[in-house]
Amino acid sequence: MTATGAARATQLVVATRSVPPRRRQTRRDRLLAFCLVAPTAVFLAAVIGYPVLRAVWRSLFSDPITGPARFVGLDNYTRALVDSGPDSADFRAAFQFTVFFAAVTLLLEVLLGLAMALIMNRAFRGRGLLRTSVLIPWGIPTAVTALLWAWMLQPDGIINSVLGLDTIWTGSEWPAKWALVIAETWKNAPFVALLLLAGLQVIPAELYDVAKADGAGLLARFRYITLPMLRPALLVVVVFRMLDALRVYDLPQILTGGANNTTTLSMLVVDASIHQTNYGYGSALSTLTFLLIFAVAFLFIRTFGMNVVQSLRQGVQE
Amino acid sequence: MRHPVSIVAALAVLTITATSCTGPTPNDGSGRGPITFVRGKDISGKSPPMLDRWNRFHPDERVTLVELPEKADDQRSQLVQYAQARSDRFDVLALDVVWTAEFAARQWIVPLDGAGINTSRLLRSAADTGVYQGHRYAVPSNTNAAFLYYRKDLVPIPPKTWKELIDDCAIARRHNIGCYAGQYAQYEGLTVNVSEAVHSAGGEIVGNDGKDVLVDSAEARSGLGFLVDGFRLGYIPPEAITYKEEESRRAFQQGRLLFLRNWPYVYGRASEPGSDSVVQGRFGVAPIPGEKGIGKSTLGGANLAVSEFSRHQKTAVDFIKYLTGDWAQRYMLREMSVAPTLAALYDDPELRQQRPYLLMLKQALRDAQPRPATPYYNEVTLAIQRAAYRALQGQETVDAAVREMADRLRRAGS
Repeated sequence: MTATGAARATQLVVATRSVPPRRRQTRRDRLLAFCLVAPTAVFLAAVIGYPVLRAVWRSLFSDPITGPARFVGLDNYTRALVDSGPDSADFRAAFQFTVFFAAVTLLLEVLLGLAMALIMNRAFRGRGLLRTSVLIPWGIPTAVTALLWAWMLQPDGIINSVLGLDTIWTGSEWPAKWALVIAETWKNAPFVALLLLAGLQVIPAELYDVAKADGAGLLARFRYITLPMLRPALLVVVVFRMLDALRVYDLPQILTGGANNTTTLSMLVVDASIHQTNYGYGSALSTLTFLLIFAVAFLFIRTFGMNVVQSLRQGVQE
Repeated sequence: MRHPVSIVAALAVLTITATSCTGPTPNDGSGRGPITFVRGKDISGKSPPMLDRWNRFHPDERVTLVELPEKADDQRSQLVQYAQARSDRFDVLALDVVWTAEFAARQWIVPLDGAGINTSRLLRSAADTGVYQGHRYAVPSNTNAAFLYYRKDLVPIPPKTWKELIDDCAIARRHNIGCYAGQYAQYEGLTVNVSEAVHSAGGEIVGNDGKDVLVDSAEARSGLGFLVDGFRLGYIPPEAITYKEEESRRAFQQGRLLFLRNWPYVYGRASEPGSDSVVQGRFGVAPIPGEKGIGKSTLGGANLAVSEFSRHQKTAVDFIKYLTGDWAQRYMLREMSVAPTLAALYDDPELRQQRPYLLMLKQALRDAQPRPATPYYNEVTLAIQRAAYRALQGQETVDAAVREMADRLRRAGS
């Protein structure tokens, strides 16, 4: 279990430090602790807790043109999830595309990022230059990335001329989807590479030496040393990128404007609450998006986080 | 108590909620005094002299200009946020014609029926866009209608009907260039183009009240069909599915199109010396063609309205009269190259000399049709865009697209 694993680790750390004998907490101590924590707690409640709760509360009300909003219970949620109107069709389409986008970009970014990290981890002349230049796409603001790719993907743009194609990238469904996947991967693979490179650098070289002496080939060393040792870094990367991809807004908004079935959940939220001024329905959509992302993150950490701790413990025991 | 922190937090939240819910105190709004005029970005940069002139004559009721972002969506969301907060920050609002109904319905702008504004001197079609449910809420300061730009070196007489246009496409084929294009990416411009095609075939999208859905008709099918066939048969080049105003202007300027549907601003840009235009002096403008004769353009432009939350509404009304008056309208045409709403200017010989297309613009504006006037405009335009876009891509028949459009329009705002 994660909890016990973490607890053990904490105990281990605590045990190695010199802990002063535990004193009984006095009333004054508790007051002091409370006063020290209070400003942060109030601040967090104001900037995180309040908006989230406010959105949930607002999602239970109607969106009249004039006059006060009426309490409608879960109507806004059934409108997005159950009703047979265009709204639920839009929500379903946005949900499907968002999940597709997150899954495909994640896979490509991890594969590409891993390859880049492995290359950058080797010692060769100009390594510093390579490491810096690889990061450039990640340093470019997303809005600029989107415009850059929009220009390159124009029907008479550089991509078509170099590849000898006459694809109209933003003019039909699958080219538009792939255009987004390519732009997103181009921008974020360096970030993945950077984090994985950090993970690679803490793997002790002795492990490889020993494996080599035992006759392990390149693939075997990768499979049995690199991958398991890289697991904690991979987990962080995957969680970060997945959450980012699930709430993506700026790139598709600028590159395709949501046309050709490339509307993401976040775009739907902005459209409902800002453009159509339907704050109730928009809040319901944003709550649903929040729940989706929360659930994915939770499940992911529950499933894989546990394995990370387990593999670490196994590593220690072996 | 286990969680004193959470109680403090809850109290803080309550305080924030309580303070944010009490807006500024209401006012009778009849006063005079300094005002703020808010509009989209002034690309021409020529509005300050117009405001300075007002300020010279009204030292106690000076006007301050606030420019919002250039993109219409961004302007609207900012205006909406101020209105939601019942802010008295802005007094005179420049609204896109299609937002007027929503702002009126939400009571964010005041009715101007009794304000003594004479709209009879304005172009009828433009003036009507400021009316919602029988009451005048806004006065148009500038308007817009589309032209057909054509290569006069290749086509001697511009086409008056779609059939003539399609026949002329043989010339485009001979020269190996695209024939016709408008704006067909999925955005507001698509609504403009589709509504134009529907009106030019004698159809309608919604009734005058903005509610009756009339799009499920043979005429609307024929209008949308003209565009869909364009892509299917190739008289509209395939890349036009990504065109907004600027992409289509570039295609025409670079000599890649025989005919272009676009706004009057292209006239200046395509004839500008030193621009990347290869068609300088080789293109002409004509009214847009239709099914059985000259077509009906979609109406663009901006309306001026007085904010409900303004404290100096009398001054605001006077300022609107000033901007729609003779001097300011003339200035806007001459210096800012926007189409005025004051009808008399279109017959002014001196101005006609400066802007050769003025007479044609007047005719186009006389026939121009507004987009649906409804508080739910955003839902309506999305419904039109989505259905039409799928039809243009050939993913849906014209018939299915029109029926889907009608269905979505009926649901809008329900």
